[in-house]
Amino acid sequence: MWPLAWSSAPDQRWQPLAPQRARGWSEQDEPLFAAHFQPALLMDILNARGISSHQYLRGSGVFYDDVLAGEQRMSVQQWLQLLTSARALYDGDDLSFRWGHALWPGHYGEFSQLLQGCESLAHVIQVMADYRAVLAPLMSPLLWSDQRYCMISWQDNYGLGEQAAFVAEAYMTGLVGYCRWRSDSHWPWRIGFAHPSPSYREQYDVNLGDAIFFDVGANVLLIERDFLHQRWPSSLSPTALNVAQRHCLQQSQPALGFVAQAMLALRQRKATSLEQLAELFGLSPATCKRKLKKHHSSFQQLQDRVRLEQCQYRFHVCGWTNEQVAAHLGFSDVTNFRRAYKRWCGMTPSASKRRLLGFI
Amino acid sequence: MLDTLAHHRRKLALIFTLLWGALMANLWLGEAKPWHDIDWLDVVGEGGSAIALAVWMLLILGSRPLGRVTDLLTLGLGFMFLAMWQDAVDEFLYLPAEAFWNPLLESVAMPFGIGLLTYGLFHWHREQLAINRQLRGREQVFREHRWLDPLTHIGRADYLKQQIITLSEQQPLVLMMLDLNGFAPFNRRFGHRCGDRLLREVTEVLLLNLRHTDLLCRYAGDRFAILLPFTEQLEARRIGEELRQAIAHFAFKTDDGHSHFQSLRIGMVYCHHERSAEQLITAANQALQLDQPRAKVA
Repeated sequence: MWPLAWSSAPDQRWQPLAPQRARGWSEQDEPLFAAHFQPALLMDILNARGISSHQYLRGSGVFYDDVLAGEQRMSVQQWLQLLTSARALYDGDDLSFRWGHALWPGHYGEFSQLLQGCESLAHVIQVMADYRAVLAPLMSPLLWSDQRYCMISWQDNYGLGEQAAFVAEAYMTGLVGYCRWRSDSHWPWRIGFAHPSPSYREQYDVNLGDAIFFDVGANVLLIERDFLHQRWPSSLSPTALNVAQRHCLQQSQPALGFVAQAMLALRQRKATSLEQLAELFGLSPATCKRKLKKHHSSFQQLQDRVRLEQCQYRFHVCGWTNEQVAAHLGFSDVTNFRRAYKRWCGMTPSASKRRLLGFI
Repeated sequence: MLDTLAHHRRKLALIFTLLWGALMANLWLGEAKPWHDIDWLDVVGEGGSAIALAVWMLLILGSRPLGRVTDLLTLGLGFMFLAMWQDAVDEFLYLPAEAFWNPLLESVAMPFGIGLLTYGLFHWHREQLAINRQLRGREQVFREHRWLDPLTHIGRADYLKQQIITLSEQQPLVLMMLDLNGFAPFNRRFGHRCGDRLLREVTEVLLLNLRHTDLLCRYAGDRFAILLPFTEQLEARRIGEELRQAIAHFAFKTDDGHSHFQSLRIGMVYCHHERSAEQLITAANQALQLDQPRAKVA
């Protein structure tokens, strides 16, 4: 199965990525991302509250004047540091949600224009996957769909550690808010978060709706497939859209994040052990382990995440039974599978189905 | 805090000049006591009190706006601090009998400072009563600054939950939820600074249209909650309709000076004893979802 794209044919084949984007990886400490794009939107919110840029950029090695000049690039590590100090300085629980609402279409030149020209949710996700370095660098949406339902799971590209919940809140609020804006209606999303229920539940009610579930092991959005291709009124001229598309294609993109690249290999079953993964990447097992650790991950954790993702797709989208999924994943019997599933996300498959699906 | 202190530099300069002068005069005229003559218990007690008084003074200066009450409180504490300081310093020195200012500093500055502080506290009390009148509708009896929303200065969701329990005796009690339509696109279009201002001004408009007994809280984002004690259904509906009208006629001025009108969605529930605060809030939120914006009439 391929991520970052979705099945359009009923036989559930996944479109392969363009080869130049699937090679190599990028790491947490490489300065790859324009500071005047998504990080600047967060800075805007802090500036509006009268928090000085010296405070929230302290120790990150980034200066606001350079951000204004539009030349500054930030690494994921610097970005995470910005998130940490922003959360400490901002008084209130709604920072991630406000940032999320501002993320898309955003102010990213042609990329925003392209996003604004998208005519359906499916199109938006395709554009986000194609230009993830600008539109969704920290987490990328992966779309899985069947005849009736679709699931959008958010993949952590670089190992965000403690800030993963914050980024998930922002990105998922962003996408839900964007769909609401473009379609001018509330959609019946069912939303699952990997983290436990926070003390500020009310922010979720207001920003994301009432079907929200915590502790489900992954960050996922579920909705009927009809919404995926529902046409929105287009706000961009076809010529402008074409030009934006052409300009975006000409820009070079950094390689996938290290964690994303590792998960891709696991998902394609090119690697089933740390040694195989290291060999695939041309690293020694020790170096590979060290790099995983640097990205707040371990081989076991990524493998669990990939398996859970597959289970959730099979259960929640395709409606498979425990037996079918167990056999598909190569478990000898259902009891073993149930035990493993509980280890991945803290609950049994049936509890997960009850929790996240309800009516489905 | 430092920004606020800068407004008070004159008072601070006065107190520190006096302090410095007293210290210099002490050192000039006094003669150091031998170590074994120093009463360390006195030094710690008096010196510690002096430092505590100085800290109180700085805290009051750092947290209060300019004005007469602030001046009085500061000068009162300042003089008390001077007296205590002199007390502590003369533990180290023998002062000659002709240093007339030593007893003056110790015995006059202290009662003078206490007098100023008392007078200041009396006016502070009256000021607080005036503020309480102004705050009515924002808080009921109970105050806890951690539960205040920093943006609009009304209670947050935690405060609301706590107040639902506190006010549950005042039946019939109605919980009303209000949500601004189209706040996210508004933020997108006019920016966060403007969005924050809109929330603050909407808070004011809502407060102006409430009774003294009602409590307004900011639930989250652009959603507000109102607790209406001793209110029957018909009256709650009337108040809801009044709020809807008030917001619809509120001409918010964006930064470019254009008027921008808002609309509300409203959901309300009766607060029965048998339901928990969380259940009531969930029910009110669901009622809110049913109140979809009506199609515009051409």
